[in-house]
Amino acid sequence: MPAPRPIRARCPLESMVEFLQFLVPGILIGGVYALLASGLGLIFGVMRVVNFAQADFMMLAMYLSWALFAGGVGLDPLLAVPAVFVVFLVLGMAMHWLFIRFVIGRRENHDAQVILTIGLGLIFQNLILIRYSSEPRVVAPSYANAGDFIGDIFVSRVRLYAFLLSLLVAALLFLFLNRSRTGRAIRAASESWEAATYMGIDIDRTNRIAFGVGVALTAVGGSALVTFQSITPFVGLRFVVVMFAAVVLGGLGSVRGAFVGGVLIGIIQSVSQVWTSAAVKNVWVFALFLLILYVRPNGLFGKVRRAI
Amino acid sequence: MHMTRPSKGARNVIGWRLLPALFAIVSIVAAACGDDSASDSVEEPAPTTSPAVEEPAPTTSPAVEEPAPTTSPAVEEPAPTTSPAVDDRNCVDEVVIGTVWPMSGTFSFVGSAEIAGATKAVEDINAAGGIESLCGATLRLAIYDAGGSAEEAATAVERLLDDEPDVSAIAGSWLSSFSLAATEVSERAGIPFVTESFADSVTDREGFSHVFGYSPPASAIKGLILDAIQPGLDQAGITMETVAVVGSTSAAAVPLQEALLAEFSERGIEVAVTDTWAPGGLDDPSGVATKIANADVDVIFNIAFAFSDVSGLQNELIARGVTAPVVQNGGQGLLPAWADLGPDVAGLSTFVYTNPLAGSDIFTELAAAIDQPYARQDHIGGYFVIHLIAAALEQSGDPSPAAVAEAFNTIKLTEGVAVDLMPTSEISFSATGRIDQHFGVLAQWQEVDGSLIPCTVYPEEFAVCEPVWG
Repeated sequence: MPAPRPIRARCPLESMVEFLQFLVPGILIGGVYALLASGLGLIFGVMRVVNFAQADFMMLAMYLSWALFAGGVGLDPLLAVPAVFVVFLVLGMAMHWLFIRFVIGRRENHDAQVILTIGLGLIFQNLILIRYSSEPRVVAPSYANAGDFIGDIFVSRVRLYAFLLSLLVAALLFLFLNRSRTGRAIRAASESWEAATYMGIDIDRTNRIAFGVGVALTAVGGSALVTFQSITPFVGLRFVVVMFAAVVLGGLGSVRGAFVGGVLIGIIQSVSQVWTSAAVKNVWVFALFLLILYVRPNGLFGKVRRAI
Repeated sequence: MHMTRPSKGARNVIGWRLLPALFAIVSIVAAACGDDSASDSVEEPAPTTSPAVEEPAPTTSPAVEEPAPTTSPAVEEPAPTTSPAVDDRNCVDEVVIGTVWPMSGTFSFVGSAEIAGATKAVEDINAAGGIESLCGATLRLAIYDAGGSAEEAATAVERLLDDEPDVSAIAGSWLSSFSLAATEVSERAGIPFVTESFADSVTDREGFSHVFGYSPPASAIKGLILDAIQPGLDQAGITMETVAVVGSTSAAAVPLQEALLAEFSERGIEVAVTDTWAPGGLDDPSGVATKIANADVDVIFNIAFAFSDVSGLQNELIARGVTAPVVQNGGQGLLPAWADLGPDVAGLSTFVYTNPLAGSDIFTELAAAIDQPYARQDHIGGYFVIHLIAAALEQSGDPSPAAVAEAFNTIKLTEGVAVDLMPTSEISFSATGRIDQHFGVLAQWQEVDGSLIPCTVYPEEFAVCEPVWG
């Protein structure tokens, strides 16, 4: 029988290093959650549509990234982001024109919104299931298994790149919403449809663009995620709760809130594992979720007082 | 042998004309053979058009082979006192085997693999003449989707029983939690349920006598895994002093993790890391990987069944330069997607109940037939379970669920396709319904002929490759 290992008293510095070992990955994955959630937040903020198909748009983007990588093109998922953004911008706008525009604008349409978006999600899942089966797929770029130690703190390359991509996209989104005419129209519409209409803003067009941009943001998050997550037609189900939690935590209707909520969830999920099992990481997330909603019922940056 | 049913009118004509002759034959046979054959014919009435009359089997008596005239030939040509020539087989056209594997949801890739193997088995068995003891009855699969939850699995069995009242046996449902729910329904209906699920509770529940498990139970797997990895560890000079035991909280994973922990405690091996996560819920494996990397363990036991969980953690460990051998349990460790992760996965080991074995071409043929680069556990499992049920049908000579269940209780296979597919020389079932022979193989990802494949490295007599660790 081997001699038991001596138990060492842990100094505060060691504890701090261990804390950082969990904090850093939490921030990095939180950045990806933020990107996924910001698209959902934008759509809700402008249209008051709770898009249950949002995670399935993410799944579609992951499959597109996989196809571009493994299907002979060999395109790195992070380099494929512009193409993915454009494809899903168009797809999102098409979905709005075909379906979504018929179920927005009135409170009695909320049930229809829920059923429609859940139905779209199921259709997407099953189309992919029929086409590709449920066999897991992986994208392994050259940096998939690479990382660097900064002292004792490990920084995964794929997560770092995904996080940097999230920051870049967040900055571009900020510029778009604040500096472009269309972006300002979207912000105006999110404040008040009636007022925006009186100011000459084409609400239907603005909604269509906002839905397209919202879907495209989540799709870009999917492209970042696929570099370190295997994919199946049902991968969206794993992230849909995180996405909604981030949006509500940050505040319904606030893109900034959704972004902050995503980062916060990533940090809590990771740091909680310093003391507890990974099995209960979402317990901590929802404990904080309840606490924040108790203190700030509209979320951290919430604008909407009443939601479905 | 496939029998063609005559039209309803034809059946009536044949039935009325032959009735006196058949009555005479049956009377004589009953007198010659005692009450058994008579009682059989009462319990399982033969169709009005006897298959033996339509397509005489080689062993049938001349009186039966040549349709009797209206005057009873049985009186003119009495049958011999012993009746080896009379075909008293319980002849049926086809036997229905239900399958309830997940065809949608997270684990549908498993169901697809099982169905691919099972379908190939049915084709092979039917092409070879069907079930001989049932006059060449053909097999037919009734495929139902266990979906993505235990509730859906139970509902699938209910629908199967409604749609297919003549089902003889059911195969399914891979996940122990699914099988536990599905067998609640099948047991009430008295239908044999043959499963690969390895949670002990699947077969050990009181009052359950129609559930048969052909994989080793979780309580035995810990010993099998440790036996399987030890030669490789010895060869690599690795001594297990500290280990990590991590995995999901699924119904099958938890008992195995607990059994491993108890075993390590008994052996004085330090378990430096234990951690669990919800099945399929390890979105970010960084935390678990950090704990393992910090502990600097000798061997890592990753007991989880969702590919996303195990592959994500494996990637994280590789990225952190963790070189300790990683041992998994279950078919998710054999998926072709591992090869896409590149040469870094070489050495990853998975304990499964079977994998392509040395000395048999059947696995190569199966892989070619189902258009896969290699046959893996779940393809082989689907192929195996149909052959196993076919063997039980051959033994019982009766497609009724009760007879098939009884056959499972007494079956002892020492040859045939089912035995060839598993690393064992015999297959039989205990009183609880669990397979008596607790076997398994260790498959290790290795580059063979330029391709990364999960290659069998243990047991030695079935090994295709040498274990490479360290």
